[in-house]
Amino acid sequence: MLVYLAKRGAARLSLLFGAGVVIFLLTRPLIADAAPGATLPAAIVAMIVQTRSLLGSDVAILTQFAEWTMSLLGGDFGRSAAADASTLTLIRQRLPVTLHLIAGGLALALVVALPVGLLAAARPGRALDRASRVLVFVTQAMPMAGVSLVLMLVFAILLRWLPAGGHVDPTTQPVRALAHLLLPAGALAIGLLPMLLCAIRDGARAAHGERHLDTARASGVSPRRLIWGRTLRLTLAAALVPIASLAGQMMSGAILVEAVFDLPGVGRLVIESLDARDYGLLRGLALASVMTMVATALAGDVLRGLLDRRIRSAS
Amino acid sequence: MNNATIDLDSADDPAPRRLRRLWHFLRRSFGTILALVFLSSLLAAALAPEPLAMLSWLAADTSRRLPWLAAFLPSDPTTLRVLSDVLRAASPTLGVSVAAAAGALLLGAPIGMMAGARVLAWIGRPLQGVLTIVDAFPPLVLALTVVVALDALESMRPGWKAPGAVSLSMVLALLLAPRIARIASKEMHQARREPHLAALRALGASATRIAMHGWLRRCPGPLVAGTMGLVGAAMLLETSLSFLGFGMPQNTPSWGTLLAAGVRPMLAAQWLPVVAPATLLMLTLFAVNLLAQALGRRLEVRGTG
Repeated sequence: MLVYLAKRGAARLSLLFGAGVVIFLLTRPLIADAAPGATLPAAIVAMIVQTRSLLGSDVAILTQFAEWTMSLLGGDFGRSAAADASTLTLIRQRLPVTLHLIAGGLALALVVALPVGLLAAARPGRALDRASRVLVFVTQAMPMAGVSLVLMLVFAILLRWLPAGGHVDPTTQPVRALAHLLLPAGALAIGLLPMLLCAIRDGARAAHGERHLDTARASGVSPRRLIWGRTLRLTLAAALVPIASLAGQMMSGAILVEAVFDLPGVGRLVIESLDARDYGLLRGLALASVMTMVATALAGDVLRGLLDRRIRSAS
Repeated sequence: MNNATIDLDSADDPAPRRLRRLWHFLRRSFGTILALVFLSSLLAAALAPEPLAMLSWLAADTSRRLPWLAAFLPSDPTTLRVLSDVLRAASPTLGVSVAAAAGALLLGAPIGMMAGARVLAWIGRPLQGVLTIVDAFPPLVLALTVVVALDALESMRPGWKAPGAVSLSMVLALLLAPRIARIASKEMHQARREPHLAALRALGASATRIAMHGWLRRCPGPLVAGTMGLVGAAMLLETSLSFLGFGMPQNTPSWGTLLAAGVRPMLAAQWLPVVAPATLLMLTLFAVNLLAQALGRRLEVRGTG
């Protein structure tokens, strides 16, 4: 397990580093540094000077990158010039809204995808399997922005069943908060459904091919216990990596859904930082989003190792 | 005996057999044909010089000839204007998406194939590593950052201007290239395990020749199908970016900008400005995905794998 985790962790962390370099290069022309090299320890400055003599070129870029990395390691994600606050403070303020949205969307998508995917995989080619394919095909063709707007139009403006947007604190008014959350979470769930359903169905299909399930079936375990007890575990193990890769979809979706339903979450913070040309904030947000994705992927790896013993022992 | 003769007769007669084959083909590929018809009529309508004039003439003429249809046809100028705007937005959206998918193919296929081939892996692997970094981002976050960086570059150099649609399709191509590279390198890896390549190797063929054989047999089909699938993905991304105001330039109509412009009328319970682009976008995505699926099935590599 440790070897497995170390391997996966090294791969994911190198990706994080690469993404950090990309973010740095993209946002460097946008951000003016006050005094490059002023806050760096002497040892690193010496290293940079050495590299300069090796490369014989402009190394201001290296100084800036080292400075940025050092401040990141110290837990400083930069400041927002417009809001005059640190990026982390702003994210912490906005995070609950986004977390509620994502939790709601994921829960709604799972309520549909889990039973449909498991049962469809149990009887391939039958009606439910074909229906699940149609469902994937239809939801795949639904753009998140369009779905959000149409949901809002139908349920909030024409039928007036649900509020059109805004956020309510669920700790004080749980019922109203739920009503406010339902439409945005539904829109997000439709965006997540195709990939989630495919992951669960394919995972369950792969689990059905396992030999020890045949043994269990032959020894008289009832089909229901077979599906919900044994296949589910294997399915989750196989589907966890694709599900963890949904994190990118969730964050992209959160940006759109929060824009439509006027939710003050992290996704809205991204748009606000772009509108205010607050590039320091944008840089911190981009890095935080990549870190979230890497962390989710790592969590998926860990859970997969815990659920499927063969992965632990294989490496 | 009698039955057998009849069967032989009908089997020998080519005309019914051909008809039956045609019928089977039509039934199997009904969705594909429908998708093709939809896409081509959409393109024709989008490329018409005066969509507004065309639509109003069409509506007026049809209701004159077929009066019972008149109640269902739009007649007031605002509705016609919305519909013509939506039609006019089809060609920029489709153009950018197709260009983005083609760009992803041009960028991703060589990298993936080099990474999967034994000879060029030393160039391909690092390049594919760079592409996987793109996949570490939430797609929309990276797209927004790149678009803003390009924008700032433009404002810093006064003489230089990034053309909106072109730079947008380049950004989308970069975002989608990893998927193509993954398909290409996977096909190359699988090709390596094929018996006829082992035979070639045993005969002493060069690594380049083996790679070419593997490539010729496996790659083109999945790559074409994958690229078709990316057209839909590019359309989704383009709509999201344009909806947020960071995609197509404001003066170029696209379904994303039209959706954004439809929010205000929607709040006043005017549903057409939102529903029309959303519906057309969904139908187009549906058609494109159907085509991609059909292509994938048709170009699938049969045999060993």
